[in-house]
Amino acid sequence: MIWLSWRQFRAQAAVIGLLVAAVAVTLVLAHLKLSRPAAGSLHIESTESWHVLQLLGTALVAVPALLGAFCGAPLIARELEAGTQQLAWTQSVTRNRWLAVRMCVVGLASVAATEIFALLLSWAARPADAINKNLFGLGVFGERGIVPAGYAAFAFALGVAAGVIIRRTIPAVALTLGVFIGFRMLFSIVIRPLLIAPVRAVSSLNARAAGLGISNRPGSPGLHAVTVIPQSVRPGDWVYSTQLADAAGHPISNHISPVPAACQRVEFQRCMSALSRLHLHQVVTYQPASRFWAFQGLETAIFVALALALAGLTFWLVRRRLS
Amino acid sequence: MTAMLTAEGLGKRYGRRWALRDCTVTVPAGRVAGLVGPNGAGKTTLLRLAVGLLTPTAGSVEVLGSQPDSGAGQLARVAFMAQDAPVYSWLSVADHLKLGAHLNPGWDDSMAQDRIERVGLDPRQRAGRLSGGERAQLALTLALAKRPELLVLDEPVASLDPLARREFLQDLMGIVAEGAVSVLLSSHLVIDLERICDYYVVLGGSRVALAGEADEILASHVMLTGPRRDPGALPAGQELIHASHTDRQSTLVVRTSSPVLDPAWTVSKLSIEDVILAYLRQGNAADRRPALEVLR
Repeated sequence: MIWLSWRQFRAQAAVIGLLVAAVAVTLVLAHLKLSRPAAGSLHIESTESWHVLQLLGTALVAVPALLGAFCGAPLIARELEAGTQQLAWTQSVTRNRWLAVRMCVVGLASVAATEIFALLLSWAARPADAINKNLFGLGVFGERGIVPAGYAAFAFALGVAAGVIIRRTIPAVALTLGVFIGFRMLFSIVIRPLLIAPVRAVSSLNARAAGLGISNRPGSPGLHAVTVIPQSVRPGDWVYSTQLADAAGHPISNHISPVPAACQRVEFQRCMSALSRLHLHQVVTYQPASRFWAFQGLETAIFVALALALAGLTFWLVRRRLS
Repeated sequence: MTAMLTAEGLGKRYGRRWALRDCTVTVPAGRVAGLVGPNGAGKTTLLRLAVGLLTPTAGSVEVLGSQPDSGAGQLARVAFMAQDAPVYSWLSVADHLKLGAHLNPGWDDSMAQDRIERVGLDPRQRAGRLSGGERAQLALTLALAKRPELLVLDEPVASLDPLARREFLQDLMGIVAEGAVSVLLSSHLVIDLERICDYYVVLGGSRVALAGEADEILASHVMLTGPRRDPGALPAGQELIHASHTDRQSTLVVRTSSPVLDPAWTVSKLSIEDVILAYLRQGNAADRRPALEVLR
């Protein structure tokens, strides 16, 4: 059974292997260039190697979708289209075993190829990431660490299930691409921030002069609070929001009114002391950078769990609906 | 001896449509059984139920004494060649034999190699480039080298040209003559089966219209020709299967165990095809037409 799975997957596996090798060589070269002290300075974002990393990062986002669409979706749909499942399922191997081996061989290969790519990219980008400190960034988080493996497992299982449900390859490929890209975007933007409750840091605004500006714009004279990042929030943390709050801790708009009389004139010190009597606070909600791996682990676990659920559905469909 | 196939009230429904309904039949083992019926009569459905590709919606089916989907052991006992002989078009002939060897514990490789050579298939040829006849031969080789107790063939010759059809059936006759394997095969053309089957199951209107030994079927059916009369007046022991009438003459197909004594009838023998067609017309008549109809 493993022989047949391998024989059916051989050509695709060769293409995937070649691509992974090409990516590996490119990334090693990029890493070497970035690690040189001269390049690792302030201008990292203008180096050629940085552009290579960005390009491959974008490619890594596409890899699970493509593997799901072109290895997952045809896995069973192609058999159903050609009628060859009638040949496969009447050999002396049960349908469950046939499906289990086929899904494991191709699925694990897809996950492995994606994760090798992701680990290489994480390693190659380490010098740049150390300077950028933006691992929670929308375009960065999903291209580092272990989440790409979770995406690959999910996309593959989605492709196989779509193929079994639709029973035709091309529509299944389209559905896989659409659903995977849609769900991945939804997850990154909506679900990921909800995975762990953020930290709430409150700092009193009178403690520092910075962060307030006096506006004399006609129509809206007054004071505007400018975002102040409290000491506890460090570079690399994922800031959800900053909010001004009054003495009682209720959120207020960033436009302070009525404006204390001292601030109507340009007397900064007296304005400050007038403000400090208002006992304003700044509330920042954020995820500390140290939670990067907790987020990676949780998101990977969720995608793997979804993949297993889809695989379970596939087994049920192959066993029941196709008979 | 356990039966090749036992069905009890077997039915399969797709959505609202019954592809097979109330099928109750027992086919003894060791036969070459022909499953006959018009297109859409449920032949393919019955065969797929027998090999475990489908599960019944109603009733039960047993093949060689076991449920068809009872596991790898049962799968090894039954070989199936699906309609149009599907094979992996991008695998070579030799790869197909490897596939068979990997997936079947009882695989007889020397037999498979011999057979491929004898029917003139090039092992390096891709299956997608084979002609219909060659593909059927490859599929039959895969089925036979598994060393099954029962060989199930769904319309094995339907897509073959007359020459390939004759060769395939002759080949199959040779295999049957070697013995040890029961065969269940379907066709919508009785003429394909006449020379190799010794048992018939006739499906009409998704039900079993007739099942029995070829010899018994031939011995118990006669055609009566005589002056026109109402076929309701047949003596006891004679069962009317089909009647056709012209202005002056009636032609009846009758099932009887005793000789027909009425001198008004000219009694003549029927071929298997005639009998089966009579049963299929009976099914049609019951569904759509009044019992007595004058053909002009």
